[in-house]
Amino acid sequence: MIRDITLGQYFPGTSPIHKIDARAKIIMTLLLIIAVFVASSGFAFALLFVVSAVIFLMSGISAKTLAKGLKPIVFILIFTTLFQIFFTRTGTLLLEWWIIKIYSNGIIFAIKMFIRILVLITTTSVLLSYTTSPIVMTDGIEGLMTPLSKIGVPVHDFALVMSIALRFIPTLLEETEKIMSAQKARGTEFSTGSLMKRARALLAVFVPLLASAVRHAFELADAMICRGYRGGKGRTKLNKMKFRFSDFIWLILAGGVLAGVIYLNTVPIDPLNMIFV
Amino acid sequence: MPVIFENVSYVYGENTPFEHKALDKIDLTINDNEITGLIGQTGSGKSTIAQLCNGLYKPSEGRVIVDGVDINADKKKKRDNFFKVGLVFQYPEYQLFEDTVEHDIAYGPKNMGLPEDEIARRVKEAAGFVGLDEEALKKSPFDISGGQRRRAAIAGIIAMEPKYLILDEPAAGLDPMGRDDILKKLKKYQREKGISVVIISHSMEDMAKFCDRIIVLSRDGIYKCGTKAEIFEDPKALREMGLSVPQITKVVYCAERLGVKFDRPIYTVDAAFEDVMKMLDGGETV
Repeated sequence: MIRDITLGQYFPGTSPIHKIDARAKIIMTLLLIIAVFVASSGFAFALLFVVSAVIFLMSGISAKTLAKGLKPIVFILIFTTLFQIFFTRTGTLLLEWWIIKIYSNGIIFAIKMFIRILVLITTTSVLLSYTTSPIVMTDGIEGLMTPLSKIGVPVHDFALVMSIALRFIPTLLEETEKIMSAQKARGTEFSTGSLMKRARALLAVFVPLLASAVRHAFELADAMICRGYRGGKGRTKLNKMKFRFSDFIWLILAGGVLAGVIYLNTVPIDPLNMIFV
Repeated sequence: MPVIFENVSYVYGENTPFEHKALDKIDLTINDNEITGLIGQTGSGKSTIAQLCNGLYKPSEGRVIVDGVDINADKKKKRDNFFKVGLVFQYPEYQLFEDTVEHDIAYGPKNMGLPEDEIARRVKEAAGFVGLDEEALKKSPFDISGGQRRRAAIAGIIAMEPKYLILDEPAAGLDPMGRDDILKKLKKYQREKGISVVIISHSMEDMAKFCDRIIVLSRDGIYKCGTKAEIFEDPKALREMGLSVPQITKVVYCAERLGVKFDRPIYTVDAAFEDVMKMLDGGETV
């Protein structure tokens, strides 16, 4: 059933990773993403691999969950790796068979690309989606963007729109399911027939769904006005975010990883290159 | 032929952390040519039963038999079953989508692959039954009142001319006049067509007024199936399930304790009124 999809894949917990302030997490993620793209030497990739493994282990997220989260990118992972192996034409020729030529650099690039994607997905999903609830995440983004409100960016409204959108995903999914059942009971076939027929079948879902989304929007707006909502000005928060000393340490660590990666790139010896010497 | 549930269980979200058993080994029969009322507290599985009847849900255990066939036995005939057992969902007015009411009522019959003139005849007849006039048929379903939209949605199912018609809370959210009107029309429709109608409701008043037979669901399964007299004979048990006998029946109980004699059990205001008027004409006083 559609309803069973877990939204944002947040897993509540009390691990050290869960406790990091959302703002710190977002900046950490950004720093690590930069590090992943800057990395070029084998040592740098080794460091990133270890760091992402440590973050994952500390989060207490089960390997099964992570594997499930990685499933959608398996294809991209395999495709890019193979692409690198078969289409890189530099370095020493290792193997030649029919039209296939495999060079040493192809293998090296493939390994790097593999680690790059793996680390990227693991760190962002563990740091952001698995250990941060969507609401806290929105708060974090709002917090980070607050300085922009000085130059006239409607940060609060933006954050509000985001949290409302998140809040309504399950509601609209449930509604979709209801409307689909109702139309099925009138003989609509969603998975058989010509393309035109199927498109028409979907129309029977989208029109009522859109109408109900608009209805929800008006109702919510009325309810907010009735409770005295008048934008972000002077509004206080029930759960105030606290930036603690430990969050600061986490930021320094992430910065350290980036610095480490940049430093390791300059080390003249690359273990990956040595494999094929 | 009746609709028969044999040892039916239904579990939501089977094999997920959200697993929840809605029905546990239920047996029930919905008879031909009468109006069956299905009543029970929230969460007792009324809507689940409705969707099991037409095959939208497949029982986790047991069989649902319509017209002597297990409806889940042949996957290819699944769609025929939607046409045989018409299901009107809760708040069906939110599923209207065509450009005019007329087209929306025709949507079901069109999916059945009927010829144009037959569709036109059915739309006209269905609209007549629910009381939608020619003018309303030409309007967009988004431009008519809530009550009219409800009628249009019900007409959309009636137009499929199902042998069994199941309505989940057909009167919910309507004003008292609208409630009575729509239920009366459904009763008239049932009597004329001689089909089997199931009405799901919270209201004992509606049940008493419009149903021939009542099925009471509790959270542990079916509490009782029977005529009004059989259902209402034990008000205490009903109250324990969060239900009650119709209010007028309570009033009559009290009146009887004061010494007024009614010569039949009273379940509707109309019946009470009739009897009291008779007593007054006869010169009896309270």
